[in-house]
Amino acid sequence: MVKNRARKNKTFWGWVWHYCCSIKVALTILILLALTSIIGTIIAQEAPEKMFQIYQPATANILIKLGMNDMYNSWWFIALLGLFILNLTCCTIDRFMPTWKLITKPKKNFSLDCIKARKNSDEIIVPSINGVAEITGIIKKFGYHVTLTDEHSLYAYKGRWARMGYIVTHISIIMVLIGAIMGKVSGYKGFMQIQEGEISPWYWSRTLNKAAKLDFMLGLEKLYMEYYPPEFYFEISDVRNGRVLGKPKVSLGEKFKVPKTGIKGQVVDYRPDYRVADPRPVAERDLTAPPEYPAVLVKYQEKGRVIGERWIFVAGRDLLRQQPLLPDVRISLYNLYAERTKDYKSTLSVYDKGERVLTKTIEVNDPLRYRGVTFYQSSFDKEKRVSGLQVAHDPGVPIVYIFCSTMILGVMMSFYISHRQLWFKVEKARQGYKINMAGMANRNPLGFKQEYDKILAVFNKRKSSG
Amino acid sequence: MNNQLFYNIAFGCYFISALLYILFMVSGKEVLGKIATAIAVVGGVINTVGFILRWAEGGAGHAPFANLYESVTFFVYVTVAFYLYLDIRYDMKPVGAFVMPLAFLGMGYANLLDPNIEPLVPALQSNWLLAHVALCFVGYAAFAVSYGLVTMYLLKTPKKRDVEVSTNFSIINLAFFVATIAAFVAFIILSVMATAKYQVALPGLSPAAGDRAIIVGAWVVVFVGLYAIFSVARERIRDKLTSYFSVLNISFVVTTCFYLIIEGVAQKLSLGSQQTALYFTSPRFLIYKSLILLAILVLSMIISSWKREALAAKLPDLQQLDNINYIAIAFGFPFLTAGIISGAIWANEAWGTYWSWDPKETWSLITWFVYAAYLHARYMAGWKGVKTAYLAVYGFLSVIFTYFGVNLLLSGLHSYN
Repeated sequence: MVKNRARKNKTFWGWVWHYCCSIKVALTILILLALTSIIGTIIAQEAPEKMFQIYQPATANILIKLGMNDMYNSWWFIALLGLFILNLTCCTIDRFMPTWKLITKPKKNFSLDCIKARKNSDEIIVPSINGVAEITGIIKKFGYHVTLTDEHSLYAYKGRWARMGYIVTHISIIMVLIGAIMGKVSGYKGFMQIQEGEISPWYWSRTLNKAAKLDFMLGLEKLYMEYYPPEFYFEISDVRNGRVLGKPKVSLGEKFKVPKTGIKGQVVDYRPDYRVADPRPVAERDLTAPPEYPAVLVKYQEKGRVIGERWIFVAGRDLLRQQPLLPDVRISLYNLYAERTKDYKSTLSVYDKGERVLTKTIEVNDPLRYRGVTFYQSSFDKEKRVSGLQVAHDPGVPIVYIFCSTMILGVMMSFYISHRQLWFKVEKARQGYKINMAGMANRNPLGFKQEYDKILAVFNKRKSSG
Repeated sequence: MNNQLFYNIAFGCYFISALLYILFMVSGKEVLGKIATAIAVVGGVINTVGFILRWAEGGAGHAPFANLYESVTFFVYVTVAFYLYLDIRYDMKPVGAFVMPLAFLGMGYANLLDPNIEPLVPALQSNWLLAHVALCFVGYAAFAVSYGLVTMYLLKTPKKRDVEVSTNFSIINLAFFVATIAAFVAFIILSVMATAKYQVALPGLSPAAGDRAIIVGAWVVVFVGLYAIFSVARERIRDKLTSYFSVLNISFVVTTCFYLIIEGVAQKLSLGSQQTALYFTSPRFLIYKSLILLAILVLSMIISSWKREALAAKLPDLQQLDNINYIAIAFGFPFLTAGIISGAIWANEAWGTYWSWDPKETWSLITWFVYAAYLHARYMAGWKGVKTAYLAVYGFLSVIFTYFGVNLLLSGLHSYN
């Protein structure tokens, strides 16, 4: 093999092949991929018009010219991915045969000196053992396959297919990328907005960047929305020293105790966005100010008698001049959950050639599939009764899914199983047998050493008991 | 509130266990190590009970992975479990002195967060949540333990006093520091200009904020990137760095991460996420905080050089550490792979796209690339010792950034945890 490679290197193509299979090139590509991928996480990946909102015009121009706003689709990043695949393919081809030989035709027999020279190697004299057959039995108990290579030599192995792990992994990565390319080439992605009661074949295709028509029609029968009940978080502190007395969490209508006063509060109303009309003309108003001034109306009771109502705001954002009702404590709001969406669902019907063929209620994480097109619940508009759907047709998905699974399998084979081999030389001694044992594993030397020591211990036990 | 009591007791156990492990390291008394492990096991069991109670409280479909509190406590929990597994299997008590303090700090950090059980948003209502988060976090936990091992490895690596300072080294070194300082000064000038022009007090993402993010990002990437390349690629520089800066490097990474995380969460709670981005890129933040960091660095340098040799003598031998580190990474890598894939499948079931280069996805892929490089370097290219140890450090740095940095500094789909 080594000779072969040295000869190949002399020709130009031999040199090219050598570089394509080189591990140094592989490491360089991996590190380059890691480093260049960072760019797109720092620079916004947005359409040009949006880039101008995020960056100063000069910066935005430079970034767009360099293609940095769509970095992962730029020629150089795709080229880097191409090199990655090339290297992966070449490495896999180059190392396939040697690996296959290691699995199917391992070196089963070694001379005694070779065995003694191994890192894990021991010599034991076991008086009470009945020849090779018994040794075979002992090793088999550890899950090894044992073959007799000659009358004095034993070869044992397990987990040999683990060596194929990296090949499975590499092929899977290549296939996943092929699946991804298939999806890019022959699939499409888009967005559909559909109103309750409407039936339409139209969607906005992101692939074509224009409106496009489905081969069938889709109707929205009904749009459902569910909300979690509102919840309010208060912080009650002592007016004199600012010490926090309590942090009650209450829902609408629920009562809470105000510490130190014996008074109970009850939330009777709330505004997620409480605004007092700004008296200034529009041009002077600070329109960029955060719009959220949540407020909660609390009714206070002392021994069952209502003593008053006050609006409670977030600390420092009190919009009203209210006469304090409880002079000893300061109550402020620190969190308000008003309309937390629990679920939104759309009941969709598919009309093919004028007939209703399918009805399904979809929600996030549960899409509708029909003739290779999938509709995903993505947004909704409560007021307009409009449901927003993602539309996707991706013929590469089955391939991606299958090879993602084999990729996990391949990685697990590579790292959770190791190819363990044991070699034995057995000779008749004056009393019993002299055993020379050596072992090797392609992964996890520590784990293997533990097993090796256990096997050795079995033989040593025989020594003492015999 | 029941579950929190359990989490707090576990927190206490981890604290005592961490203390005992450190005492064990210093004194070398076996008994202390055994007690420390026993207490860590007790803490782990109590943590399990708390976790189950919390799950029960939230409801069957609501695995406790929905907010930062839950995710940090789970991270700590899995890390402790993985460490205990390694210890029972390979007898690695000194590692506890590096892992348990991490667990204790993690729990302490979780205590600063909002522990309320929040209802699940529609996107998280999926069975994939459990699979995806559990797979990723087992991977992260293994990498955290690997980080503890690498720290020990670099601490133990003997100083090479005889390394000559070549002219080559000093030129690169000089260029590196000049570039860093120039970038920093340019950044301050630019942000002061931007502040004057756009008034940073404006809420929302002002045009300047994007520019600043690039400058800060570029600065950090250049700084860490150059450092990474030098430490891995040039032997002479690596020896130099290892002899004087290995501990410095590690304490820098750890302190920066913890600092950014704590500061980030505090700011995010009081300011909201967009304001946080501005806050992080403000010159004031960078000047004052880098001074604080510098102080911590100098302190850690003094502490680490003081009695370093005596400490190193108590650590397991280098070969052993290297082997166990490989076990940790080889254990975590398939989990990370499966975690990324489960996330991709979930995304395809929820949004119709399995890969969208969103920052969280991309950073998890970066982490995957770094650890893939580690495994190939070690097995195929025959890299050994300090070189691979540095790769593992950058791998964990990438894990930390994937986990916290993306949420605090970058925006994307994963903004809820």
